[in-house]
Amino acid sequence: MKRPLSIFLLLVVALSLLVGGIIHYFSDNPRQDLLDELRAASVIVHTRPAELQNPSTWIRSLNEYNESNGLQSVWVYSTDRISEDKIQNVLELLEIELLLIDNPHLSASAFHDIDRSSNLRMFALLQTSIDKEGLEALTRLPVLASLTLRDVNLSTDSFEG
Amino acid sequence: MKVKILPRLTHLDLRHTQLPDDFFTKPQQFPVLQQITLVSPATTNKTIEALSQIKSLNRINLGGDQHNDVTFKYSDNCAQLKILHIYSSSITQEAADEFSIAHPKVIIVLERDGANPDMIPQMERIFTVG
Repeated sequence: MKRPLSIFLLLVVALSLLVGGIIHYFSDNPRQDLLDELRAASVIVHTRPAELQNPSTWIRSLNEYNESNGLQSVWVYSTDRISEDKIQNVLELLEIELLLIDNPHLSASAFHDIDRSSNLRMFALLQTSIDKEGLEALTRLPVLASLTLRDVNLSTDSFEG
Repeated sequence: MKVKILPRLTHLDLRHTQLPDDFFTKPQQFPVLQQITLVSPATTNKTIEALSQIKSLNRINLGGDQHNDVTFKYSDNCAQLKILHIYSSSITQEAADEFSIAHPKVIIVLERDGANPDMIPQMERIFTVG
Protein backbone atom coordinates (compact mmCIF):
# COMPACT_ATOMS: atom_id res chain seq x y z
CA MET A 1 0.00 0.00 0.00
CA LYS A 2 2.84 2.32 0.84
CA ARG A 3 4.56 1.80 -2.48
CA PRO A 4 1.73 3.10 -4.74
CA LEU A 5 1.39 6.12 -2.44
CA SER A 6 5.06 6.99 -2.69
CA ILE A 7 4.95 6.58 -6.46
CA PHE A 8 1.91 8.84 -6.56
CA LEU A 9 3.66 11.49 -4.46
CA LEU A 10 6.72 11.23 -6.64
CA LEU A 11 4.61 11.76 -9.73
CA VAL A 12 2.91 14.77 -8.12
CA VAL A 13 6.27 16.34 -7.31
CA ALA A 14 7.62 15.64 -10.79
CA LEU A 15 4.49 17.05 -12.39
CA SER A 16 4.66 20.15 -10.21
CA LEU A 17 8.26 20.72 -11.18
CA LEU A 18 7.39 20.27 -14.85
CA VAL A 19 4.47 22.70 -14.69
CA GLY A 20 6.52 25.18 -12.68
CA GLY A 21 9.31 24.98 -15.23
CA ILE A 22 6.92 25.54 -18.14
CA ILE A 23 5.27 28.50 -16.38
CA HIS A 24 8.66 29.98 -15.58
CA TYR A 25 9.83 29.50 -19.17
CA PHE A 26 6.83 31.20 -20.70
CA SER A 27 6.24 33.83 -18.02
CA ASP A 28 6.69 37.51 -18.78
CA ASN A 29 10.17 38.77 -18.06
CA PRO A 30 10.54 42.31 -19.42
CA ARG A 31 14.23 42.44 -18.54
CA GLN A 32 14.97 39.24 -20.41
CA ASP A 33 12.84 40.46 -23.33
CA LEU A 34 14.83 43.68 -23.39
CA LEU A 35 18.11 41.81 -23.26
CA ASP A 36 17.01 39.59 -26.14
CA GLU A 37 15.93 42.60 -28.18
CA LEU A 38 19.19 44.39 -27.52
CA ARG A 39 21.16 41.39 -28.71
CA ALA A 40 18.95 41.06 -31.80
CA ALA A 41 19.66 44.71 -32.60
CA SER A 42 23.42 44.13 -32.35
CA VAL A 43 23.72 46.11 -29.16
CA ILE A 44 26.78 44.90 -27.28
CA VAL A 45 25.72 43.66 -23.88
CA HIS A 46 27.87 42.19 -21.15
CA THR A 47 26.35 40.46 -18.18
CA ARG A 48 28.20 40.29 -14.93
CA PRO A 49 30.85 37.56 -15.13
CA ALA A 50 31.16 34.68 -12.73
CA GLU A 51 33.52 35.12 -9.82
CA LEU A 52 36.08 32.41 -9.19
CA GLN A 53 35.96 32.89 -5.44
CA ASN A 54 32.17 32.70 -5.34
CA PRO A 55 30.78 29.28 -6.42
CA SER A 56 27.20 30.57 -6.33
CA THR A 57 28.03 32.74 -9.32
CA TRP A 58 29.48 29.94 -11.42
CA ILE A 59 26.07 29.16 -12.87
CA ARG A 60 26.34 32.48 -14.73
CA SER A 61 28.86 31.02 -17.10
CA LEU A 62 26.28 28.44 -18.21
CA ASN A 63 23.85 31.06 -19.48
CA GLU A 64 25.72 34.22 -20.29
CA TYR A 65 22.71 36.09 -21.60
CA ASN A 66 20.34 35.55 -18.75
CA GLU A 67 19.22 38.88 -17.37
CA SER A 68 19.18 37.51 -13.84
CA ASN A 69 22.97 37.53 -13.99
CA GLY A 70 22.78 41.31 -13.91
CA LEU A 71 23.98 43.52 -16.74
CA GLN A 72 27.37 45.11 -16.36
CA SER A 73 27.91 47.08 -19.55
CA VAL A 74 25.85 48.13 -22.56
CA TRP A 75 27.24 49.66 -25.74
CA VAL A 76 24.55 51.10 -28.01
CA TYR A 77 26.17 51.99 -31.31
CA SER A 78 24.23 53.55 -34.17
CA THR A 79 21.57 51.14 -35.19
CA ASP A 80 18.17 51.52 -36.80
CA ARG A 81 17.05 48.24 -35.37
CA ILE A 82 16.34 49.51 -31.89
CA SER A 83 13.69 52.01 -30.92
CA GLU A 84 14.11 55.00 -28.65
CA ASP A 85 11.77 53.33 -26.18
CA LYS A 86 14.11 50.38 -25.87
CA ILE A 87 17.08 52.65 -25.25
CA GLN A 88 15.06 54.43 -22.62
CA ASN A 89 14.52 51.03 -21.01
CA VAL A 90 18.27 50.49 -21.00
CA LEU A 91 18.64 53.67 -18.96
CA GLU A 92 16.37 52.08 -16.36
CA LEU A 93 18.69 49.14 -15.76
CA LEU A 94 20.13 50.50 -12.58
CA GLU A 95 22.96 48.01 -12.07
CA ILE A 96 24.89 48.98 -15.21
CA GLU A 97 28.46 50.15 -14.62
CA LEU A 98 29.50 51.05 -18.16
CA LEU A 99 27.22 52.64 -20.74
CA LEU A 100 28.02 53.97 -24.22
CA ILE A 101 25.39 55.50 -26.48
CA ASP A 102 26.33 56.55 -30.00
CA ASN A 103 23.79 58.39 -32.12
CA PRO A 104 20.66 56.41 -31.43
CA HIS A 105 18.50 59.41 -32.32
CA LEU A 106 17.61 59.96 -28.72
CA SER A 107 15.82 63.13 -27.75
CA ALA A 108 17.81 65.68 -25.76
CA SER A 109 15.59 65.07 -22.75
CA ALA A 110 16.35 61.35 -22.58
CA PHE A 111 18.89 61.63 -19.77
CA HIS A 112 16.94 63.44 -17.07
CA ASP A 113 16.96 60.37 -14.83
CA ILE A 114 20.42 59.04 -15.63
CA ASP A 115 21.46 59.67 -12.04
CA ARG A 116 19.25 56.76 -11.01
CA SER A 117 22.02 54.52 -12.36
CA SER A 118 24.05 55.02 -9.24
CA ASN A 119 26.55 52.29 -10.16
CA LEU A 120 27.62 53.96 -13.40
CA ARG A 121 31.41 54.24 -13.47
CA MET A 122 31.86 55.05 -17.15
CA PHE A 123 29.42 56.96 -19.34
CA ALA A 124 30.05 57.91 -22.96
CA LEU A 125 27.66 59.85 -25.15
CA LEU A 126 28.57 60.30 -28.80
CA GLN A 127 26.87 62.26 -31.59
CA THR A 128 23.76 62.84 -29.54
CA SER A 129 22.01 65.77 -27.92
CA ILE A 130 21.55 66.47 -24.26
CA ASP A 131 19.74 69.25 -22.47
CA LYS A 132 20.53 71.14 -19.28
CA GLU A 133 18.63 68.80 -16.97
CA GLY A 134 20.38 65.77 -18.43
CA LEU A 135 23.78 67.38 -18.05
CA GLU A 136 23.06 68.24 -14.44
CA ALA A 137 21.88 64.69 -13.81
CA LEU A 138 25.23 63.40 -15.08
CA THR A 139 27.00 65.37 -12.38
CA ARG A 140 24.92 63.60 -9.75
CA LEU A 141 26.35 60.17 -10.54
CA PRO A 142 28.19 59.33 -7.32
CA VAL A 143 30.85 56.89 -8.58
CA LEU A 144 31.35 58.19 -12.12
CA ALA A 145 35.05 57.94 -12.98
CA SER A 146 35.06 58.51 -16.74
CA LEU A 147 32.78 60.89 -18.65
CA THR A 148 32.91 61.26 -22.43
CA LEU A 149 30.74 63.73 -24.30
CA ARG A 150 32.00 63.57 -27.87
CA ASP A 151 30.29 65.45 -30.69
CA VAL A 152 27.42 66.15 -28.36
CA ASN A 153 25.04 68.97 -29.08
CA LEU A 154 23.65 70.88 -26.18
CA SER A 155 20.00 71.69 -26.47
CA THR A 156 20.47 75.46 -26.39
CA ASP A 157 16.86 76.23 -25.56
CA SER A 158 17.20 74.52 -22.21
CA PHE A 159 20.22 76.68 -21.29
CA GLU A 160 18.56 79.99 -22.00
CA GLY A 161 17.32 81.97 -19.05
CA MET B 1 23.71 75.24 -13.84
CA LYS B 2 23.38 73.06 -10.77
CA VAL B 3 26.59 71.10 -11.12
CA LYS B 4 27.45 68.74 -8.28
CA ILE B 5 30.85 67.54 -7.16
CA LEU B 6 32.09 64.53 -9.08
CA PRO B 7 34.24 63.00 -6.36
CA ARG B 8 35.63 60.09 -8.38
CA LEU B 9 35.89 61.53 -11.88
CA THR B 10 39.40 60.92 -13.25
CA HIS B 11 38.82 61.19 -17.03
CA LEU B 12 36.83 63.84 -18.85
CA ASP B 13 36.63 63.80 -22.67
CA LEU B 14 34.82 66.73 -24.26
CA ARG B 15 35.98 66.27 -27.85
CA HIS B 16 33.97 68.48 -30.20
CA THR B 17 31.56 69.34 -27.42
CA GLN B 18 31.26 72.78 -25.94
CA LEU B 19 29.86 72.83 -22.46
CA PRO B 20 28.57 76.10 -21.03
CA ASP B 21 31.12 78.09 -19.05
CA ASP B 22 29.09 77.74 -15.88
CA PHE B 23 29.57 73.97 -16.00
CA PHE B 24 33.10 74.63 -14.77
CA THR B 25 32.55 77.01 -11.93
CA LYS B 26 34.87 75.64 -9.25
CA PRO B 27 37.90 73.32 -9.42
CA GLN B 28 36.56 71.63 -6.28
CA GLN B 29 33.94 70.00 -8.49
CA PHE B 30 36.64 67.70 -9.85
CA PRO B 31 38.90 66.84 -6.90
CA VAL B 32 40.65 63.85 -8.53
CA LEU B 33 40.44 64.67 -12.26
CA GLN B 34 43.63 63.46 -13.97
CA GLN B 35 43.01 63.71 -17.71
CA ILE B 36 40.98 66.09 -19.80
CA THR B 37 40.49 66.24 -23.55
CA LEU B 38 39.36 69.48 -25.19
CA VAL B 39 39.48 69.27 -28.95
CA SER B 40 37.07 71.93 -30.03
CA PRO B 41 37.66 75.42 -31.42
CA ALA B 42 34.48 76.41 -29.61
CA THR B 43 36.00 75.87 -26.17
CA THR B 44 36.26 79.24 -24.51
CA ASN B 45 39.34 80.62 -22.82
CA LYS B 46 37.24 81.01 -19.69
CA THR B 47 36.66 77.27 -19.60
CA ILE B 48 40.36 76.54 -20.11
CA GLU B 49 41.27 78.96 -17.36
CA ALA B 50 38.79 77.32 -15.00
CA LEU B 51 40.06 73.84 -15.78
CA SER B 52 43.64 74.87 -15.24
CA GLN B 53 42.78 75.48 -11.60
CA ILE B 54 42.40 71.72 -11.13
CA LYS B 55 45.63 70.79 -9.41
CA SER B 56 45.28 67.04 -9.93
CA LEU B 57 45.47 67.16 -13.73
CA ASN B 58 48.41 65.19 -15.11
CA ARG B 59 47.48 65.11 -18.79
CA ILE B 60 45.83 67.67 -21.07
CA ASN B 61 44.80 66.76 -24.61
CA LEU B 62 44.07 69.89 -26.57
CA GLY B 63 43.03 71.00 -30.03
CA GLY B 64 41.77 74.21 -31.54
CA ASP B 65 44.58 76.47 -32.67
CA GLN B 66 43.53 79.66 -31.00
CA HIS B 67 43.71 78.16 -27.52
CA ASN B 68 47.19 76.77 -27.37
CA ASP B 69 48.95 79.85 -26.07
CA VAL B 70 46.23 80.28 -23.50
CA THR B 71 46.67 76.71 -22.39
CA PHE B 72 50.40 77.11 -22.10
CA LYS B 73 49.80 80.11 -19.92
CA TYR B 74 47.27 78.54 -17.61
CA SER B 75 48.83 75.09 -17.44
CA ASP B 76 51.43 76.67 -15.16
CA ASN B 77 48.89 76.02 -12.42
CA CYS B 78 48.86 72.27 -12.99
CA ALA B 79 51.61 71.08 -10.70
CA GLN B 80 50.97 67.41 -11.49
CA LEU B 81 51.08 67.86 -15.28
CA LYS B 82 53.12 65.18 -17.02
CA ILE B 83 51.87 65.17 -20.61
CA LEU B 84 50.56 67.94 -22.83
CA HIS B 85 49.18 66.47 -26.05
CA ILE B 86 48.31 68.98 -28.75
CA TYR B 87 46.32 68.24 -31.91
CA SER B 88 46.49 70.50 -34.98
CA SER B 89 48.40 73.10 -33.10
CA SER B 90 50.18 76.24 -34.18
CA ILE B 91 51.83 77.29 -30.97
CA THR B 92 54.12 80.30 -30.96
CA GLN B 93 57.81 80.25 -30.12
CA GLU B 94 57.24 82.56 -27.17
CA ALA B 95 54.57 80.36 -25.63
CA ALA B 96 56.64 77.21 -26.12
CA ASP B 97 59.70 78.80 -24.54
CA GLU B 98 57.76 79.96 -21.54
CA PHE B 99 56.16 76.59 -21.11
CA SER B 100 59.44 74.71 -21.40
CA ILE B 101 60.99 76.82 -18.69
CA ALA B 102 57.98 76.50 -16.40
CA HIS B 103 57.61 72.75 -16.92
CA PRO B 104 61.03 71.13 -17.42
CA LYS B 105 59.63 67.63 -16.84
CA VAL B 106 56.47 67.76 -18.94
CA ILE B 107 56.35 65.64 -22.06
CA ILE B 108 54.89 67.49 -25.03
CA VAL B 109 53.27 65.60 -27.90
CA LEU B 110 52.49 67.49 -31.10
CA GLU B 111 50.29 66.11 -33.85
CA ARG B 112 49.75 66.86 -37.55
CA ASP B 113 50.27 70.43 -38.69
CA GLY B 114 51.54 71.45 -35.31
CA ALA B 115 54.52 69.16 -35.68
CA ASN B 116 57.23 71.74 -36.26
CA PRO B 117 60.14 70.71 -34.05
CA ASP B 118 62.29 73.65 -35.14
CA MET B 119 60.08 75.91 -33.11
CA ILE B 120 60.46 74.02 -29.90
CA PRO B 121 63.44 74.02 -27.57
CA GLN B 122 64.51 71.02 -25.51
CA MET B 123 63.76 68.45 -28.17
CA GLU B 124 64.61 65.51 -25.95
CA ARG B 125 61.22 65.60 -24.28
CA ILE B 126 59.11 66.58 -27.26
CA PHE B 127 57.58 63.92 -29.48
CA THR B 128 55.95 64.62 -32.83
CA VAL B 129 53.55 62.09 -34.29
CA GLY B 130 51.08 61.94 -37.14
